Amino acid sequence: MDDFDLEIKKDFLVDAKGLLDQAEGAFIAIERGDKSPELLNNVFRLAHNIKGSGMAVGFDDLSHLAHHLEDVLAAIKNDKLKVNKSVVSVLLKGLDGLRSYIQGLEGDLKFTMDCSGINSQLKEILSSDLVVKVTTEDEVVSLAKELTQVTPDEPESNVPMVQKVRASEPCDSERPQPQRNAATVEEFLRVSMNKLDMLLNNVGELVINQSIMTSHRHNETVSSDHAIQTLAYIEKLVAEIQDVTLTLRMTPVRPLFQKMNRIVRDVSTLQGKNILLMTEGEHVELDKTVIEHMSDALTHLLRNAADHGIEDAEERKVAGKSEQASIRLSAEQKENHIFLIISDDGRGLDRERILKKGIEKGFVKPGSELNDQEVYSLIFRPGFSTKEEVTDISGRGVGMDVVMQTVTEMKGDIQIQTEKGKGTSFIISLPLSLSIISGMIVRVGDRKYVVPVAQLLETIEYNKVKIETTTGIGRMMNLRGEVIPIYSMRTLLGQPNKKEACPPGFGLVASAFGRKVSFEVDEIIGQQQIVIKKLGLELAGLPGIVGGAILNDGEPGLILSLHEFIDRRSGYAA
Amino acid sequence: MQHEIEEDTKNKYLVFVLANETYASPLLQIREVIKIPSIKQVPYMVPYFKGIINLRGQIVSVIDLRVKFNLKDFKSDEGLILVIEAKGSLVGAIVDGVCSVQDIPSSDIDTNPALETLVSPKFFLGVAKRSDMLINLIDIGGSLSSEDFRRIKEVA
Repeated sequence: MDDFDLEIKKDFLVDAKGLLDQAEGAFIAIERGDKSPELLNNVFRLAHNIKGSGMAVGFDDLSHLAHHLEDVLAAIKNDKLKVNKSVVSVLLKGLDGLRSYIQGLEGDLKFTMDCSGINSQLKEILSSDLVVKVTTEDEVVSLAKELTQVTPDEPESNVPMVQKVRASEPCDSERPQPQRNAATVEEFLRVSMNKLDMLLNNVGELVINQSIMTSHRHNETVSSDHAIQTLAYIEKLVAEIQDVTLTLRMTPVRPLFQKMNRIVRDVSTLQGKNILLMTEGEHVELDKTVIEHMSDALTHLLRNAADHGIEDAEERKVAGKSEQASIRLSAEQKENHIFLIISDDGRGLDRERILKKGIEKGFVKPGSELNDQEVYSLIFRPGFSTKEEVTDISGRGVGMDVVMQTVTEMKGDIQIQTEKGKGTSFIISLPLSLSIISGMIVRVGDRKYVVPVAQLLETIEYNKVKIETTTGIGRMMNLRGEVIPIYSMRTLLGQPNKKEACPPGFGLVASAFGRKVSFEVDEIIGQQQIVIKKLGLELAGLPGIVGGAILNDGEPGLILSLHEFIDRRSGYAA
Repeated sequence: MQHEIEEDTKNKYLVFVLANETYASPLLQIREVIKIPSIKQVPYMVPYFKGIINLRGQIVSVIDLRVKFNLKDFKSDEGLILVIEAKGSLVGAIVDGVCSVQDIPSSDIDTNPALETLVSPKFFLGVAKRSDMLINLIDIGGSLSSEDFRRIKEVA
């Protein structure tokens, strides 16, 4: 296979995946009764595109399947086929077929799959009694011609409206790897032309100003005022370039939300529930890595909401609720955080049952007093599940503990709001960007370290609180009636201990895994926006060290994770 | 084009000094030579792992080869850093000084001398015979990328 051939095949797979995601949203809109010609034209064009381009790059079977899908869509578009739930189900099955085919091809470009089953199902629709009049091949062709202004039958029609930016080094693609998900296909990110133009423009300006600065050096008659002015302008440009560069990784949550439509539809169909998913804030942008990681967690939360949260029709009737249940999925940005909110109008969490289960499982000591938030967060514990029988929908794959873990990994947080009989909301807050954090710079011995401000509950001066030393347990302090252990950062980071005479240091209070700990440092220097830098492989896996940073003075520093020190499982905690 | 470059640099070595001994490593492995900037220490690492530096916005680990090889006769605040490309990431190695770039044809290299060397035999490329001296050839990139500098291991 020559390079060009390989290149267009890979491009096709990347594009086709995007098209399928769009098609899925459209199918569900069709099922809801949306029959606008715009929507139908659009979805027809998607299938047509995959068929045409697939054929052109030599994926014949794939193209064949798309062709059958196209036939059915043509019939719907021409009002020759009545749409009902079963038709959409078959369409979605066809879509799934295409998707798994493409996944297979991503792993191995010689991948083939038997599509005869789904092909004949699609054909059957066209001969069922739902058909007003069988669509002929000619009509499909004429329809395609109608659309040719927008989509000629050549693969060139697939030129995307936005530029592609290389997100990673190309993989070794000559040797297709056998396992699934093996990334033979390079990762791409859709970036708006606008952002790229801004970036190019700024870099151009930067180059011009740099040459002005260079000429200053050779020209002694230039006043230093002039040089300072140029420098100030360069500073501004650099700040702008940094801003734009950071947004390059950001993509709208729309595709993620569209995927959720499908999840809710599948659950409600399976259980005969009538659930409407409403989405809000689809334009909100998040780091691409965060979106990818959150996909599974969000899927689980929505399945859970549809499966456990929403009552069945009977129960809703008895409770005097409307027959149609609703789940709201929304995204909004507030300051430096993105909030993803999933709320249902179902039965709400059962505080007593969760608490009882928590005691049964040994997570809670009988008789202990917990506030609501503490009780509800029990559902995030590994091995906690209140639904007795494991259903096909919620009882497999990721659990709530994995949801929590994912959100924590993304440096975010989950809150639960619930009212019995009224519904439940999960509020996930995520940082806007993974590559810039607000950092607290502290001194431990003669070294400076960075601690993410997001991990800090508060900072205290040790000479203002009562510290007690207990042999065998270590030092504790009494903070407003709460007893909190003190860990010495010097000990944790292997630096010599302070001499007794030194003034008491400062405490960084953090809490994780339900434990609150105060870390003793020698000095709190200040806060700074920190760009997280990768460390070399030789520094991977050092306890509590999660990355590097260049500090204000141009010196390198290490970023510490207090949460990792608190994590008992790691075994580093004092 | 690529081949020409490789042909041209294949026999080129960077000759450097470690405590009065002369060493050389393939030039292609060495990206640049810099003065020693301020080095920040890193906890949990072996003594010859000096710390990290800021190399134009990139954080690079630095190893002192003189400490690693147990050499005695050097001034610890003097020297140069060879920035080495090892398995896709950069590592800095402190040496006493850099002498020259030399063309050493493979015919001049004795790959199997009965010598005790500082580096493991795996990364010892041989001894080059020059008119006035002998030069130890070491695969510095391979040596640095295969080593574990951590004093404590992960508790998994």
